[in-house]
Amino acid sequence: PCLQVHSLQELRRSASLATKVFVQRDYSEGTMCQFQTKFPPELESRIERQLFEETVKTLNSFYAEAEKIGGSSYLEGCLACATAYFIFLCMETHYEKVLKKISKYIQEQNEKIYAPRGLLLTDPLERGMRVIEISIYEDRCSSGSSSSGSSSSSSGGGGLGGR
Amino acid sequence: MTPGGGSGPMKDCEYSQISTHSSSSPMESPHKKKKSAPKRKWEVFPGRNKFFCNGRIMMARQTGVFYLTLVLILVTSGLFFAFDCPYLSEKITPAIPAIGGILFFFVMGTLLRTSFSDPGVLPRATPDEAADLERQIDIANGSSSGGYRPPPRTKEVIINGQTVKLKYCFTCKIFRPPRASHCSLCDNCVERFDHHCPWVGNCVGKRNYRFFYMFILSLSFLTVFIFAFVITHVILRSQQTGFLNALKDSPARYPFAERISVVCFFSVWSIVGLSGFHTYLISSNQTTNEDIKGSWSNKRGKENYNPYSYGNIFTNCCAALCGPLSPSLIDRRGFIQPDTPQLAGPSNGITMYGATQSQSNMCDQDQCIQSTKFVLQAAATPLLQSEPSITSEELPLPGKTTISGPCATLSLGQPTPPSSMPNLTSDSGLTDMIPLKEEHEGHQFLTPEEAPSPPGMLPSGSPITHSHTMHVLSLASQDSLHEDSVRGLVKLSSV
Repeated sequence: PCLQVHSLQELRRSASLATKVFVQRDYSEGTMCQFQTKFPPELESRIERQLFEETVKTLNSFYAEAEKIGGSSYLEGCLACATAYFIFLCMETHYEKVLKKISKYIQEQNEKIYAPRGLLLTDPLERGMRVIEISIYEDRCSSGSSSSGSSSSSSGGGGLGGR
Repeated sequence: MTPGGGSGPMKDCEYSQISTHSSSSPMESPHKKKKSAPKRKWEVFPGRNKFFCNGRIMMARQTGVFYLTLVLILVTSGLFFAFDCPYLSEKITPAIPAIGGILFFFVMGTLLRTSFSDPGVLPRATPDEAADLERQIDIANGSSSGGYRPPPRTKEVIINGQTVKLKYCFTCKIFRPPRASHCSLCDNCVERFDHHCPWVGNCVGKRNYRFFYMFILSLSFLTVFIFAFVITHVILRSQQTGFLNALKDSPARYPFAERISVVCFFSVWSIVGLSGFHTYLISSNQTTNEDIKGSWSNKRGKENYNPYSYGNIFTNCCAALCGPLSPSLIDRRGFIQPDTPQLAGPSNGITMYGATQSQSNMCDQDQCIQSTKFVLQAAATPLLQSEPSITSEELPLPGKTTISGPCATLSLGQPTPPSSMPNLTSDSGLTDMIPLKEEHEGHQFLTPEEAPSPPGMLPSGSPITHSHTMHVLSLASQDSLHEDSVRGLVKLSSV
């Protein structure tokens, strides 16, 4: 099988979705958002175990930071309470800030590590924080696809719309 | 692994989840197949909620009692400010209307926050996720031979040393996280579900519990405040003119004093009582749901201690009230991405057998009355039949019923791969069909600790008919009275 580097948009066009793997939540520490670090067998041939585990562990640490109950979260909570929670209309909460960081991290991981291997991580926020969805793509392998990929990437820079 | 090109155009595009931006560039508009106005996600939200202000406001379906709450608070406070405050601010201090004003502002703010925000609704599983879960359940159950009934769909996890059972929700097709529960009135799974409060017209869950608590707390202060100062007003007047004269002048001089007092008197006891109850719940980090069911015992060292409690009251309170506020998971105002498959419409038929077990904790007597009404109505309508004409309000799509025929012959343990599904509607249709595969499971939707369904509801006939009926019911639109009555029956049966 020929391995090609796909950009995130090209991945969809030149490869077909083979299957999806779901990494479930780990509830052993309560209702805090943590994901299982168990390596799914379907990814055995696609990615190194250590890379995957590191991604999940980093995500877990991000979520732990978002949900941390400490000095700053108390401050934010008390301030919000004092203003009858009207402050939420203008201010972004700590959690939301961390979520933005997470989404950037996932995008970066996708670009650097997962897309080149024909995989795609979905932000758990889009799946109700229940699972990390990993889409596995099969390459439609031929030399033609790489040229069509690059030519369509230059013309269709605006995305996949209008197809 | 060769590093390749193609990373250029990627850099200037926003990362969106492998799908088109819904508002595409103008040059592509003549070729667009979809309708001119892209739909927002709240318009196709599968639960029974009402949305206002283009998705910014979210409430339960029955909001009548909420308007009553609003009216009571506004009218009582308004009368207080209009008729008692002028006198009191002269006689005693102008701080009284000031403090009253602040309290009133706080009450209204927290009430609106509680009513309008997302309580922590869990979005339903995407078809792929649901299929994957089904597959895992099949693997876990193994192949079932005739006579052996597979165990009901639960998963056990150990949280802080305590074994907690996670139940599978048939409507949302997920394993509910711990402390989540499915609200049958709103037809949603809600995280850290406390109760459904008709007075605020919404569920109370993880995201709006602190608003709810601050609302009832501030409302208790407000009612006590108003009550106290109305009495003070009457007393002061009576000192001037004599008590009987004061009462006589009452309608003319300071009207509504008695009425305000009466409203306040009754509110005080109930609201203060409720605040006290919730203070207790917060300090022991329990939900109303758990407390009513008696899930955790209070004594330390016993078998079923509360695994979520932090051990001391102060931390529990701080965590509940000042902890971080998680964001809404349902993205009401987002646009529907055309490539991403959405769950087709409201599908709430399969909640019948056991997914609604946690609704025994209605916070109001109205719910009991409603349920009784539903039972009476349900008794008048025949429930389970195999023809599709059950749903009187709306006919199911004819295409769907024909699918059920061939699907009934699906062999056990054969999951349909998500990539082979032809189109959107078939997706949810086929995943709804998957329960058909496990013939025994058709009778096993209730977990053992729940009350068995009322006799006569489960047909002893073929499970295919049963599942077919359920599938047909799953196509019913949300407004069906029949659905409400079924829901009500299940609620009653599980109480």
